[in-house]
Amino acid sequence: MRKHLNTIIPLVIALALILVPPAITGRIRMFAATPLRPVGEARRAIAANIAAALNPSSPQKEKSLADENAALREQIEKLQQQLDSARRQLAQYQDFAANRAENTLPVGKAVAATVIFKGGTGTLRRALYINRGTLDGVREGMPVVSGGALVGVVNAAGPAMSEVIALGDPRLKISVYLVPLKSDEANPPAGDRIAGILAGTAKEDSPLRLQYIWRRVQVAKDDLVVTSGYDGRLPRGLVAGYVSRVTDKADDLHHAIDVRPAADFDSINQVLVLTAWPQAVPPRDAGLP
Amino acid sequence: MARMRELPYMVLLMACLVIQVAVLNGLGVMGAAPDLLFIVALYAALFAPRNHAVLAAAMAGLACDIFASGRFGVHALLFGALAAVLVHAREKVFKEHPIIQAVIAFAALGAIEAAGAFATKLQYPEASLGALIASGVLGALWTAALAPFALALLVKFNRAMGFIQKRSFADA
Repeated sequence: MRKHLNTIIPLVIALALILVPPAITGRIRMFAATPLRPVGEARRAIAANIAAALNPSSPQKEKSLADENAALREQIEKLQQQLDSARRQLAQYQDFAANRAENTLPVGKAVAATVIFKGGTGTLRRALYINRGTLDGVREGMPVVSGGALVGVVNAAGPAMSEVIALGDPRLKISVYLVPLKSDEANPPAGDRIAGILAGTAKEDSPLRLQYIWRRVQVAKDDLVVTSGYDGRLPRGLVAGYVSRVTDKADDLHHAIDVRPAADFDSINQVLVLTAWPQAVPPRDAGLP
Repeated sequence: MARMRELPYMVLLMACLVIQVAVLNGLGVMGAAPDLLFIVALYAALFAPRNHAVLAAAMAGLACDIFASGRFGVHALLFGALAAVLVHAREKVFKEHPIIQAVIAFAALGAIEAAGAFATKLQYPEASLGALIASGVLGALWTAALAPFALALLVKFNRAMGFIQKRSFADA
């Protein structure tokens, strides 16, 4: 028996660690990861310098830019023709934009952070590591945004470093509105909102699935999906993504809607962690089941 | 009996963790990246003294758990269990052969990733099992391709790690 203690003890300790609540182990993990923060910041600086070195300005590049400019001018002519239809869509968005403006975040209630590592280890790898932690006011569950789009939620916060699980991770489910572009008999007025749940699928091509949208609602590609704030965890009006595909089966009550995230996971370098936001009570939705 | 040197081994683990999160995680294809810490666990399972192999592999798993957003300790348990199995099997295979190393790496990591995919699917029904398994298999392939090269490098540190063993009838 004593001969096997060296085998048994590490396995028993590992098993005991699994049983510790994630809220505690998350802080331990981020505390242990904090010494790697300078490495992450150095890695990011090196990557930025390499990218700058690989794309220097040159006469050839200037010529290609001039050619591209001429081609773009031609495209502008064509785009003028599409302007009328775009104006109609713009009018539909205005109601929604006005709604978002009411919910603009107050100044000083967000913490800016830099992404120092991307991708975790293990089965679910859709994680970001940022160089802000509890010493900066970051806490577990806080939303993280980039360019007005929701990136994810803080999963674990250490003193000087935090882990963010990004949209697309199956552990992240959020309450959202679908904002249809089209308005007709079946749909509520354009710019109105229909409540649903956005869940991660862990797929690379379509990482999000919008659930519980009734079949009677007409859903089109590029319809907006925004946070509703119903769950009380996230502010209302953050753009989560856009409808990319609707694949319905004949006997389903609800649509099967794939959503592409508004924030590009691969190109995110700077984020904002929202530490406070107005808790507005939303009006009743037109399409609420 | 040979004794593992913990301090050099922990330095090795830290170096591998830095390479994993700073370099290898950025080389991901379809959400899968080579797992250097798994290779270190494999190194411990194949070359560490019999009575320290599980501990060394579990330590590699614990290092892996720092950047795994799931339950803390899962990788320590899985890598430790893997070492407990391999420590008995390693005398029966030609463990220095690169193909054997790649096959063991693929089979073991593939099994771990598949178990993780099924566990995730059970817990979160919206998750796509196909995508999780595809990502896991791709990660296992990546790791298997890297394993012979990494292990060839790591065995050069056997003496520093205290992984040199004198064979005896007592070990068999």
